[in-house]
This record gives sequence, C-alpha cells and structure tokens, in this order.
Amino acid sequence: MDCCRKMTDKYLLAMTFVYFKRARFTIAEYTRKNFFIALYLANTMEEDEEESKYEIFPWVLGKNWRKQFPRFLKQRDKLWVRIEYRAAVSRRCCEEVMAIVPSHSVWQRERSAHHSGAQRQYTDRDHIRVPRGPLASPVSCALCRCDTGLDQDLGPSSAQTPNATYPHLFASLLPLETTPPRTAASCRKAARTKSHVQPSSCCCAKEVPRAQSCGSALDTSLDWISEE
Amino acid sequence: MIVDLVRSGLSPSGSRAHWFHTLQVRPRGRRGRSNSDPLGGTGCEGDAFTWGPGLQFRAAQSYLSLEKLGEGTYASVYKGISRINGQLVALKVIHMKTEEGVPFTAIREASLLKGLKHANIVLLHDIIHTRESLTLVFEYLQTDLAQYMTQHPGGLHSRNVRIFMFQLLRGLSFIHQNRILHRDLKPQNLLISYLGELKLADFGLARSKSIPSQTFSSEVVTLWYRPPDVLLGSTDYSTALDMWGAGCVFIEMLQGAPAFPGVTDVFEQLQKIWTVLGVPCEDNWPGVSLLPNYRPEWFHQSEPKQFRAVWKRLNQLPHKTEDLVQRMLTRVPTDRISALEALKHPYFSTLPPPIMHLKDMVSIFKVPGVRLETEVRDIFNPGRRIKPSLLLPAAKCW
Repeated sequence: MDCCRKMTDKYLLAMTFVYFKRARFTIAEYTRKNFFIALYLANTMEEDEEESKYEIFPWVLGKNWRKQFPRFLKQRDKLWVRIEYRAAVSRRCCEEVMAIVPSHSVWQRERSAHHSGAQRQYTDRDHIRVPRGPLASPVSCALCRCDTGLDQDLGPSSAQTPNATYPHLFASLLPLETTPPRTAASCRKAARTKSHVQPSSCCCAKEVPRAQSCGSALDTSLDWISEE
Repeated sequence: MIVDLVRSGLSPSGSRAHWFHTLQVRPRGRRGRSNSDPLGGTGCEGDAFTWGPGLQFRAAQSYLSLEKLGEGTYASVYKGISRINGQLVALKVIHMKTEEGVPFTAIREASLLKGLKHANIVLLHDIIHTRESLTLVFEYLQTDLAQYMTQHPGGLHSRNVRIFMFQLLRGLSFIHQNRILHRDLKPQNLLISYLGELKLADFGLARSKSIPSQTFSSEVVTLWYRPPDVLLGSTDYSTALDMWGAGCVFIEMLQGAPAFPGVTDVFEQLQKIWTVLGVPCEDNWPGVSLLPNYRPEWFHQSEPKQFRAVWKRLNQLPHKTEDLVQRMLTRVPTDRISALEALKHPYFSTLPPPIMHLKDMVSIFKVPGVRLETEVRDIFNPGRRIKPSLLLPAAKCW
C-alpha cells in the first residue's frame, strides 16, 4: 500500500483518469489492468524519482512480475499511442477533474512536502530498491507511517473484472484515507508554500466508501480533458 | 530501424532521382556555409513538393533519411526529407530496448512538444512508432548556437546577440507560461535557421512543473549552465533554473567563451561562480547555509566583482546589457528575473516595437527591420573581410 502516496497521490490519479478519457476507453476497458497501465504512464511523466513506480509491477502483475513487466511496459507504450502521445496533463486539467467530485476521498490523497521536490539520491545509490510487493507494502517513512493491515488492498488480484461504473473504479482499487477534506484554495496555497502541508497521520478506512453519485456530470462533454 | 525502412521504401523514378541528387550535391557544409548569410538558405525548404499521393503521416516510408547528424544520449539524429511535402526534417530515432519500452525521456519529450507550438520551439511534425524504434520527426534547422559560435569565434555581433537573446527568452517565456522547465539549456540545444531564427530543442530532460508535489531530479542541466541553488543541493527549483542557463548563454555569445567553464565537479563549479558573484551568506541569501552542499569554509573568500571586469565585452556595450546579465545571473533563484520580465528590459528597446506583440507562431523575422547582421569573423570564409574600421576594434578587444 502506498501510504506515502508516492505513486498514487491525487494528481497522479487525476492524470490516470484523464488518460482513460483521452483513450476513449469503452466501459469494458475500465479494468484494473488499464488503471495500473495509465497510473504507470502518469508516473513516467511526472516523477523524476524513477524507482518508486516499479512498485506498481507487483501490484498489477503479482508474484511473477519480473517475467511480465516488459509486456506491461509495451502496454503502457500502446496506451501512449492511443492517447495520441499526449501524456502531458496540466495542473489545471487535474484540478478540473478533481472538481467534478471534490469531496471524493481519492482527491484527499495529498502528498507530503517531504516527498516532493528534488531528491538527493546519494543514499539510494548504494542499493537498488526492488519492489517489495505483492505481499509487502513499499517501505513507509516515519513521517507517513500508517498503522494498518490493509496491504492486500493493492495486492494482485487474479480476477480481471471490468469495473463498469467508472466513479467507483478508483474507490474499489485504492485504500482510502479519511483525511479532512481541504478546499481547492487551501490546497493551492499549501502547494505554493509546501511547508504548510502537514504530514498527515493516515488512518486508513476499513471500508471503501462509495463515491457520491456523479454519473450525470461525467457523461456530459469533457472535451477540455483533451486540451493538454 | 527507421532508416532501413525508409530506404527500402524508396523507388526512385526519374524526377525523384533528380531531386534526390539535387539534395545530395547541396553544399555539404550544413555547418560549413555561413548561417548568417540569408541567401545561403534558399534551398528546397520553401518549395512544396507533393510527392506520392498515398503517403501519409505516421508512416516510416513517408520520410527519407539523408545523412547522420549526430548521436545523442538515447537517440541518433538524421537529416531527412519528407516525401509528403518535400520539406527537410530532422529524424530523431530512438532505439527501444526490448525490456524497457519507450525511454521515459522520449515519452516526455514527445508529449510535451505535442502541446508546444511556438516560433521559438522546435516543431514536432510527426511521430513514427514501430516495433524496434520510435522516430520523432522535427523541422530541420541548419545549425545550432554552439556551431554558430564555433564558426564565428571571438564573440558574436552585439545586434545578433540581442536578436538571439530575444528569441531565447521568448521561447522560455512561452514554455514557462505553460509551466514547463527545459532543464538542459546550452548552446547545443538552441537550433538556428539560416535566417537567424533560434529555437529551443531537446526536451529530453524537460518536464512539467505544473503539479506541485511531484519528485524532481537534482541532476539536471549540464554543469556549466547549472545554477548555484541547484549546485548547492536545493530541493526546490522552478523556472529560475532555466534563466540562469540563459544568462550563461548570453555571456557566451558576447565573449565567445563559456561564462563558467572547465570544471568537473559541483564544488569546483560553485567556486567558479563565487569567484565572480562572491560567496553567499545568510545576510544576502537567507537559508543558504542550510543547503546540503554549503561549505562554511567558503567564508573570507572572494568578494563580488563587477561583471564588466570579468567579461570584458560588457565594457564596450551600453550599461543596460550588463544590467540584464546581472539580473539573470543572480545567486538567489527568487531574485532572478523571469523570462517575461527580461523581454521587457531596456536592453531590447532598440528592437522594432511590433516585435513585442507577435502571435506565438510568428517569427520575429516577419517584423520589418529585423535581420541578422553579418558576423565579423567567419572561419569558413576568412577572406570575406568587411570594413576594417569595424574589424579593428573587435580584434583589439576580443
């Protein structure tokens, strides 16, 4: 489980959603696999720290991820082609996605300041970080440590069930924290002065809350998603 | 590989063969002839060939590879020609390792450039994706600033420096407004057309700085052009990163030599910068002593120097030139001038005013009165001397 939100913070998840729209996935393509492929592409675009995203391999591919990841990367490349190579997503676009259902717990997945910015990598060079999944979570840091036994939530699932109702897609895949919602304005402010972002004590919900009904808003034109 | 593919797709008819021959016998000096000579560029670029109705974008056979231009870190670059419209193109062929798929640098470069259409950003025409390779098809430009400076040593014509700087800042201002950092500014990555159009290229290290909390590498920018805050290990950088590099390029164009050259590690590079700007302290840079690479023993060392004492060419130019350089080469990143502010600096006030109100895709050379001057020195054309009166002070001072 990504308790530090290094590969699944709210912006990366919003980008994942944008890729689904840009790819014009059919409902049947709203799958767990495609979710992770899109999430991996979002990490490819945004994260300079390259190793964190490798944790996604065991989540999506299970124990045999070492054999299967080259194929997974080809699928990422295919998705990139399908979205016509437009993997860049602006912050504004992400924020508009979040604004569809701003109170959704997925959008509370704020990354702490100590996991942002330029990372010195001297310490990491001594050893290559190998993904710990699917049976263990990534190493969590002292500041974000969450006390939970919900590791299996992001573990591999053999079933490739298509997830038809899209707003629940993320909800059904991610362990969600019950963090007090922040207004968009305060998020922006927090982003500007990163020190304001609290290393939140994550207490993971035992149950996955259902998203508010928002289907109607989503079926309307979302053309702006295609704009950069 | 794309080159083989495009070659195998070639079946020259008579006219094609003739046209191909014409290209081959063009003066081979892509870099050889003077790029400051606008007439040098009247080749095929302007002509619109319609060549094969079945040819389309995204197809390898639509491009013909002519010659290898260079080898990059993750790609080979070829000069080529589009069989769709006869335009010259640069083909950046990225070889894919079977296990890794498309390198992330290529994914970023293509994705970012897809959304960046501007007269001072290299234009991405097309993308060809095959099993073995990914080819980015760019517009072709005759040279780059590094080669241009090699061809015209000893510093460039001050008016040309102004024209190049304006375009560099215009391109930077555009990408920064789009919240994108280039992160690898250097003369090699600034392409120049025969007219003198300058375009930012090589977005392999570039990334979006739009989303607030994402991770950033501190290993960015070639050492000589890397700003002191990043050298000191600052964990937060933004558009000011590119402005330092632009300031270094400014000096390099004036002097004909890099601003802070010849060092191999971070500490030597910092020392080089302190020699000119002085060692920073908490008084003039709050928080500097907390940065990872800060060394207290730097105290009692160099005092700041006047730029014109270090870079002599500034002595011969109006004070506003030095002023702009100083605002770009400022130690504290938040104090560094932005690209948009720099465009409004008095240094550019001698350019025709319409230059300030151009649409994104319009080249500054569309503005009447904007043209490149002939450079004083040209190593490929040493006999072409212009008025001695112009040459003499130059020879004395550079």
